[in-house]
Amino acid sequence: MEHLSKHASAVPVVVDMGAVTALSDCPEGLWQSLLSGNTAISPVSRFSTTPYTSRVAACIPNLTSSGPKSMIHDLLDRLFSGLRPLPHDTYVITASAKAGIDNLEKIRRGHSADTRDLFLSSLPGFVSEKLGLPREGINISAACASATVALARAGAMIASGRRDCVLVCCFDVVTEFIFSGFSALRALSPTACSPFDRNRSGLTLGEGAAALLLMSPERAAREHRIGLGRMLGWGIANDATHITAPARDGRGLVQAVQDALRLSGIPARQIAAISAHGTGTVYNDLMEMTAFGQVFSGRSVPTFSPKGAFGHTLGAAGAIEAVLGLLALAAGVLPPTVGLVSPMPEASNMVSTQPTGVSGSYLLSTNSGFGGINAALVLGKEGAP
Amino acid sequence: MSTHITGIGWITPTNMGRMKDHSLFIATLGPLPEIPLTGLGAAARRMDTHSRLALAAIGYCLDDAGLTHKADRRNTGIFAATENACLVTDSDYYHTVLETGGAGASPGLFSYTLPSSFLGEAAILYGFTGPTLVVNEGNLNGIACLEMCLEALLLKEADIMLCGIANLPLPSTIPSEENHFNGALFLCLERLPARKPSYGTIGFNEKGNVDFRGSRVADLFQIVHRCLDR
Repeated sequence: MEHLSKHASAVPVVVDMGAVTALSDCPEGLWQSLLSGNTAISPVSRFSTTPYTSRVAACIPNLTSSGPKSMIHDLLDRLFSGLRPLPHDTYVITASAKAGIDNLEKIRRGHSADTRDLFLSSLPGFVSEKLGLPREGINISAACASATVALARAGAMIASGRRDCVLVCCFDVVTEFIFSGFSALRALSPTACSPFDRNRSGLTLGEGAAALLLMSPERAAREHRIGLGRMLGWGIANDATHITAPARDGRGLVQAVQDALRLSGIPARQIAAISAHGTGTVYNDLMEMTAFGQVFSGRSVPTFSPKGAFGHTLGAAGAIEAVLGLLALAAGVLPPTVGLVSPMPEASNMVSTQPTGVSGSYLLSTNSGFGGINAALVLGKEGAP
Repeated sequence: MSTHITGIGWITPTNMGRMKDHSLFIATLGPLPEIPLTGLGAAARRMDTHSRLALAAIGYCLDDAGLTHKADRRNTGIFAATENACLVTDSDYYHTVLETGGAGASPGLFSYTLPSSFLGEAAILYGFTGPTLVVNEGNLNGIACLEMCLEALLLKEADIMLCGIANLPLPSTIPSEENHFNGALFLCLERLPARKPSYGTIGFNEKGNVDFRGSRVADLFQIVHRCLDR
């Protein structure tokens, strides 16, 4: 596999980013809240959870749907309020698991709703319209790995020279549709989730959005944009084992991580930290630790998952976590894994309930999803060789 | 080494099967024929219609390319486009929520309420371990998928890429003015030495557009028509 680093001009640079979660409406607020070990997981009031196996989620305060419009529009408006103006030729890639599925709920309950919000294919147009861009773009669906896959394809577009300015915008909202489904699968933790904990018992849903603006180095220089970090490599691989459960041996994640490392040209020993998927389910967290153990030959790489702080944001997860990964590299600090009490044996020297100092320039970010999809990114600190 | 199209398969309202067996392809709207489950494995009985449609077309494509032999695992990826995604399944699933007050929501149906669910089924059936994703696009033409497949092959992220479209008609409860194609179409892209037989070479031209047999293409349907015109 070719190394992108051989062609320095091909390595995508992140020049702007935004994030909205139940913890905060901006990356800086999210970062500080995460470092303090805060959680936004609380009882759900948006719909009745009586029939379901959990009562909690991380819902953004006062997120509303205006008339026939889905909640996703309010979420996007909050996200975009923090972004700098975009070049007119910015290509838009969105990622979302279920778009405005709250509008299907409205329709089926006899209320007025805009059916366009149901279509994942509508999302790039919504984003372009809100940002004053030409209506050109795509939405990527790859289950809970959607955002990481979207970032990977944006990276490939820039690395190949086809594009030099791509906005990746990812978002999902908590709805009864999704909550009921994960409850039916017995995947929800009855209380706030505990990633990588020996007593973990499921995931907690959350909602959020993130946007990252990627440019080629030449374009960033021309636009006088300061780099916030680099996307050095990516990998996407399928377990080919089960449509909802991860492969116990982590085979797909191992391949995705190895592909990302090869593309980046960064050896595994130089990865300073991992932002893991860490949903808090028994099988996902064990699978990840199994995969990391294989890739890093037993080295205990400092690892964290933020899902105990703001829930599993589905299609937005990978993008929010990429934002946090870049902030972690810049600060030299890894946030605590909120919700963790007693680490599972396989993670005992990797995850922590406290912020951890990190020395190094490269971070691995991973996500996995239904359909056996695994995705990995190698992120680099701005200014690192 | 060039990228070639080595196999094509489809299911449309008009006909279905491998490129080599047909002289007619019509990309149109309308009700689809019953999807044959032969060769889709025992899991086909529990799959939703979207998954069956995509897998059947993939099967025809692989057969046309001579690649249906079962390998344990192979570095093949799938990038597929859809407009209506799994809205039919979404509607069916939510019916189980409403009907039972939530307590009887169907986990089986929920597993298919993602447009990408069929990717996992295809990966399991054929041993595909490469990159997989679904692209949702309003003007359903498959070009974005094709461009990303070519990039993936150039960057050696996979040895073979399947590029396609899978799009069911909408459920009656969700009207939409935009509906461009019902059915599924898949192309097999391989990096081959020049001497291997194929339908033709495909790649980016100097302007960054996609050329097939030296001429620009705007959608996957044009590729099929050019192959039929050979």
